[in-house]
Formats: sequence, C-alpha cells, structure tokens
Amino acid sequence: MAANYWESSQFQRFLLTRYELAEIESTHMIQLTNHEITHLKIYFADLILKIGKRLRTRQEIIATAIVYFKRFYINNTFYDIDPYLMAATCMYLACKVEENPHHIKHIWSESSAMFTETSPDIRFPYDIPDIAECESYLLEEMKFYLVVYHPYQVLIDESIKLSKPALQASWSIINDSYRTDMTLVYPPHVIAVAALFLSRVVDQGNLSDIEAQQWFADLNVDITDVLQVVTELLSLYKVWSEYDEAKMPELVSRYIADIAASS
Amino acid sequence: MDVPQAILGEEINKETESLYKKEKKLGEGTYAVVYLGHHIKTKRKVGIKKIKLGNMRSGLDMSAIREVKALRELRHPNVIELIDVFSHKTNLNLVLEFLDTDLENVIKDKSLVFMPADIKSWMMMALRGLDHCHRCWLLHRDLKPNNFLIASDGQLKLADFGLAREFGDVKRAMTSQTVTRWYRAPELLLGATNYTGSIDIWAMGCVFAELLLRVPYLSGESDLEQLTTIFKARGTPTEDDWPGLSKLPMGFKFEKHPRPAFAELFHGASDDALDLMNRMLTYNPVARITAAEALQHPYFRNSPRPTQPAKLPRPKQEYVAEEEGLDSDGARRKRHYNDAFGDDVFSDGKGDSAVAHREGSGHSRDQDAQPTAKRMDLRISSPA
Repeated sequence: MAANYWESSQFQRFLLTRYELAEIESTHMIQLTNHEITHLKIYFADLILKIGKRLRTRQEIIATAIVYFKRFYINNTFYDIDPYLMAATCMYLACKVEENPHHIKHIWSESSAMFTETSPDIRFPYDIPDIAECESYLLEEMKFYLVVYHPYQVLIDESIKLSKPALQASWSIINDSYRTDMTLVYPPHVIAVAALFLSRVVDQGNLSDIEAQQWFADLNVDITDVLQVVTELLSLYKVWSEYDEAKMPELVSRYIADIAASS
Repeated sequence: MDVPQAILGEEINKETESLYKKEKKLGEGTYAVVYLGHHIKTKRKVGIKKIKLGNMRSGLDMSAIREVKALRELRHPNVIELIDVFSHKTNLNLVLEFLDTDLENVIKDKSLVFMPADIKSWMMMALRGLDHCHRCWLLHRDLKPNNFLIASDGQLKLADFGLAREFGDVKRAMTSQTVTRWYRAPELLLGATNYTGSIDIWAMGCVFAELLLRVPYLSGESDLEQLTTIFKARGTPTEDDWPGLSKLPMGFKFEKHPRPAFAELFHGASDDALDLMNRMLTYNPVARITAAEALQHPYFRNSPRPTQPAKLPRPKQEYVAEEEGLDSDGARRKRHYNDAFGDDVFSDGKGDSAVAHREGSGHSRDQDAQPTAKRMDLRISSPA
C-alpha cells in the first residue's frame, strides 16, 4: 500500500539479512537439527495453508498469514505462545487486513476441525477469546505494521509473457517459497524472478530461449540474489522429500518441552 | 532494522506507552474515546484515540484495522500522522498528531470570509493529500469536510481512514455502500462494486462546491433522493455523458433534468475554478479528472496564488485548555472530535460491509439552510 515496496514497512523495517536470521535461529533453535528446523517451517506453512483452503481464501491472504507467523516467531519462541493458536490467529488477522474478513467463530471452528483432522496428537484447547487475545500479542509484536507485499503480484504483472503452464509452475514455486524464511530476507520481486527462472526448467513458455535471456538480462535485479533464492528453493525440495507430517506433532511437543526445560 | 533480541512485543509496547501522557478526555463516540495528551520528553501535543474494549471478543474491528493499516504506511504533510500505536490491556491506542479544528467548522463559521485564494489553498492541500493516497493505491472512501482536519499552522490533513482500502484489482468487488451520502459518487449510488479513486474525486468536487457555497451542495435525504438531487443540480446524464450507464447493476430510467447554468449558482467563482469543479463532478468515472491531473489544472497556476496555510481564516473559538462544563463551545468541540476521529463504524465478519448508517452520526449540520438557494454566503471579492 505504500507507494512502492521500497517505501513500505516491509522493506524498511522487516527485511532481515541472512546473517540476522541465522543468529535468531541459533538462539531459538539450538536443540534442533537443520532438517528439523526446515520441517517445522514446512509444517506450519502447511497448516496455515490448510486453514486457508477450508476458508476458501485467496493465496495472497494465506501468504500474508504465513508472513505474520514468521514475524511473530522472530523474537518469540513456540514456548511463549502455542504455535497452533498463533497459526489460527495469523489467518484471522490476515483475512481482516486483506479485506476478506471471517467471523472469529468460523476461524476457530475451521482451525480446530483442521487440527483434529491432521493429527490426533495436536492439542488445541483454546476458545474464541484466546484467538482475540493472541491477536493483540501478534499486533504488538509486529508494531501494528500490517501491509505485506508478495511475489504473486509481480507474476500477475508479467503474466502476458508467460504460457499457462509456466505461470502455474511459477505460482506453485512461489507457494513453496513460503515454506522457507526467504520471504523475510528477499524482496518479493527477487523471489518472483527466481520462480520464473525455475519454471523455465519445467516449461519453455511463450518466449524463445533468446528472448528469455534478453528478458532476464533486462531485469534490474541482482542476479546473485536470484540464484541464491533458486539454490534455497532446490535445497528446500530436497529436505521436503524426507518430510513426514505424521511425525511433526511429536517434534513440536518435544521442541517446546526442550525450551521450557532450558529457560 | 531493530536488533532482534529476545524481547516480547509486549515489552516494547509498554515502552511506547510510557512515552505518552494522557491529559484529558476530549470526546467519545461508540467506537473510540479521544484524549488530549503529550509526549513526555518533547512535550509535543498529541491526540490519543483509544479504541474501545467492547469489541475485543472478536479482536480488532475492521475500521481499526483499516485505519492502522493505512496510516502505518502513509506519510505526507497533508495526511494525518500516526505517531505511535500501543495497546493497553485489551484496548488499542492510536497516537495521532494533534489538530485543532476541521474544515467543517471553518465552513460553518459564518463570521469568516473566504477569499478565492483561501479556497484554492485548501483545495490544493486536500488534493495533495488525496493524490498521495491514490498513488499508494489507497481509497479514502469517506471524504467530507469534517474529515479534513486543520493543524495550528493552517495545514490541512486527511483523517479518519476507517473506511479506507486498497484498490486496483479489477477482479475484486468492493461495497458500493460507502462514503457519507452527500459526497457519494453517482456510480456508487447506482450500485457499482468496482471503482477507483474517482469516487474520492467526486467527494472532493462536492467539498469544493461547499467551500464556494458555504452549504452542502448535494444534500439528498435518502439514497434514491440523492441521485435525484444530483441530477437536478447537474442535469440527468445520458449514455453520451456516461457510456455504460445502462449496464450498471441497478441502472434504470430517471426523470430528465436539464443541465443548469452553474455560473449562476456559483456566482463570483472564477471560470477556472468552475471548470475544475465540473471536471471533478463529471458523471463518467473514467472521464473524471484524477487527483494528479487536478493538481496540474490551470486553476492552481492562475492568479490569485493560493493563500499561505498560516494565513488562512480559522474559527475564532480555538481549543481552550479547560474542561469544566460543556458550554456551547465544549459541546461543539466534543462533537468535532467524535466526528474527526471516527464514529460508530463496526463491521464484523461479512465481507466488505462498510458503513451506510454512518451519515446519521456524522452529520449534525444545520439542514434548514437551503442548499438550493441561488446565492448563499458567497462573499468572494472579484480577483484583483
């Protein structure tokens, strides 16, 4: 909503460097292996996505909710606020911010139904007022900066140049990018370009190779960042192949118990 | 970027809260209470808008979300500044820049004489603020004189973003039930769910006319009546004036009114002023002038030059620092704050249900003044 991304709070206040992010992870997540950390990110992005699917919201709203979730846990741990409650709350707030509000009761019932469906091991002993209370913690943590930019818009702007399969492939790759923390580190257009780049592997699109080369050459984007994003996406796919959702509730409980014990 | 440490948002929040001191209550609406306060270190005066607790069972309501979301990203001399936000228990507090009066008070104070240059100055500041919003893809959706606040240095500022939302995606329907009725664009009255900044420009055109006439220009008593009022004042549009008119969801036949001669009603207004106003009140939303174009209009380049903000007329009764008894001044002030800082806007849950019932609370304006009268207080001296 700011005139452009560079003037937005997302760029000016929330963009982290790789180094800062690594620092945060090293303080929060000492007890976990790198694979486990990635699996947790996939898990909660998936859960938020499932709530969104049940509410039939747009992908951008789901993406906003995931970004809120990530922003909250930059300075807090799963021990501070139950991540399942936070996932439902992020979805609730994101729906309101993106002008697509749902009644809090509806969010609550869909979330708890989804958690039960996902695994009997997930405990969700919360009630509607807990979501409202949790929302105020979330707002405070984000210092009430609510607007989030997403790579989808870049894709929509460029969509005339793309064939349908290429567009779909890029779109799904962007969806996948929310399973990592790259949205906290890279501007949305960089992620979009990386997704377009990867999608060319899947489908050639309307552009010939030469035109595509020219298109990438004309972009005013730091190509090393783009390649870094591509690398991260590829490593995400690798770790993702070992991901088993059924094991996640146990990992979450173990992780929370570990933090509780160490604090 | 703040250094990420293991601090909970709650603690940062407490720090923010401790920076400000609430002094006294200025006014109360169903949706918020407004306090006068100051920044403890800098002594800067602020308005603290406390959003009420009642709705907290379902979290922050939509108008608070919209306001915080919009003001956190906007920054312009002609848009009210949101200095800080903090929550106290379950209340949300918006720390806003303190502004003493609003354009409605100025228009209503009949002891003030407006020079053409004064009107030009207000219009320029208003359009600059609006242009900034539109550049940020934000619609205000509730422009009216009492949402233009005026600072002690005369700067005019857009306020009350409780209905504001972003626009630009043609696939997403928005409500047509928005904007206080007298300032509502004809396409909204006809039920359009896809619109642009042109609806704010229409409202701005109405404000322009109101500055010239000193009474609301298009004051209809119901939604349907509003259209008739517009058509009487501006002539019934034809398919030529407004291609696609017949395709609007509620499009039906209206009584034909001829286009009256505007120069007669707006006696004393210069030709360039009338031209700009007519472009802002063009029926076809696509042909209606944009904020950016309006700022380039000859009206702003021609003589007289806009008055410096500090030299603009202001109501005599300024804000006074006592609160004893609600004398007439106090009552006026109280109402002013209720209006300025938003009233009972609460939409819970279902879609983009903005506020039609709003006009009831926002407008305690003397309706007995005849808006259709030929010449009201049009005390405009001929340009030198």
